[in-house]
Amino acid sequence: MPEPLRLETERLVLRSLRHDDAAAIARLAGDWRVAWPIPTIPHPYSLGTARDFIRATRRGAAEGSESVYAVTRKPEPALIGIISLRPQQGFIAETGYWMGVPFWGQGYTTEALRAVIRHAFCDLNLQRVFAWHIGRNPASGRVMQKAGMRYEARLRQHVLHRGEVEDQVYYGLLRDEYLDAGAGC
Amino acid sequence: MINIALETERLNLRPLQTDDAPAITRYAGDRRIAAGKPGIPHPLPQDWAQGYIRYHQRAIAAREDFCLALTRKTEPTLIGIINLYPQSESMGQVGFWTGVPFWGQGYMTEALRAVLSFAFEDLALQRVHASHFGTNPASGRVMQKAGMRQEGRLRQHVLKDGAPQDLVWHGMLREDFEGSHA
Repeated sequence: MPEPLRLETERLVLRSLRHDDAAAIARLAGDWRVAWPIPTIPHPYSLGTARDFIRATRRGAAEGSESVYAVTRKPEPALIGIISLRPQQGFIAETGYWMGVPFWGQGYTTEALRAVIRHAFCDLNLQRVFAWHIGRNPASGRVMQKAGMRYEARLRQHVLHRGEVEDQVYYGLLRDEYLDAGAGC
Repeated sequence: MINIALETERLNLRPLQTDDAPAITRYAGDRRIAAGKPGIPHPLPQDWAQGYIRYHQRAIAAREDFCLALTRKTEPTLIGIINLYPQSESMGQVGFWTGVPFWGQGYMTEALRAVLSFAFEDLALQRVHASHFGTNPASGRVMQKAGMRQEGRLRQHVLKDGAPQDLVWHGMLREDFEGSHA
């Protein structure tokens, strides 16, 4: 088995998913406001789907293809959102995330994203971290900006998402930029 | 043999033929071509062109991938390649190269315009996009001259021969195409 994941910030602990996260995932990701901008979240979202998702993340961790973290608030163990990091080509990684509606507007996602970015550059020695969001979900882009990522591209009508053609907006952060910004490792 | 032929003022565009192999080997074997293309190794393996032609003859017959030779009307020899890959019913990706001796004469802009018309009018696509390495801005100028719009730059997003490269994206929507042909 791979080592359990664990990243810590001022207010949060990011940890591996556990089987007993399924109920929180089904409840929080079952909210359409969370689900609709994320291509990989089915709707409606059953407990069984959440269990399958948790098993899939454990396989991904075992293969080293993706790290999926439960976002939790100290000192509570309950999952409030999810963030993932998927290395590609051995030098860059894609990140994606969602946060449960009751926890919006408190900067938790930005804090979690900063932790994952730091991990990518400082622990994994990657050269680039990138993320994208659906054009009609600019709030996700604001999280990327607050975490220090830079706008890079808007591919117009580039993805078929829930039956609609949507713009795909990309943000990225390079290792040198991250270090120059003084965040340090 | 599928009968896809596009004609421009100075060019004929046609499916690849077995006897294109020597021209492809000569022109795509130039380091300046390989450096700008994710899919062209350098040096070019001896059988590379034959395999490329075989793949694309099958793919164009299946209408899965439209790879066309650029030839000048004055002579039948291949001088470059343009490729339209419909990734879905609504969206296609285009890629191209011109042999170095034929650079700077606007051939590819002419070919790209014809392929974009084919994509929007014959295949009824809604979007065509293309990307090029940041180190190859000439390719972006061809895209812009043909009416595509730059959509952004994914920095250090792909590796070419072990070195990270920016990927610069251009796109054209059906509405852009119809606006430019109104």
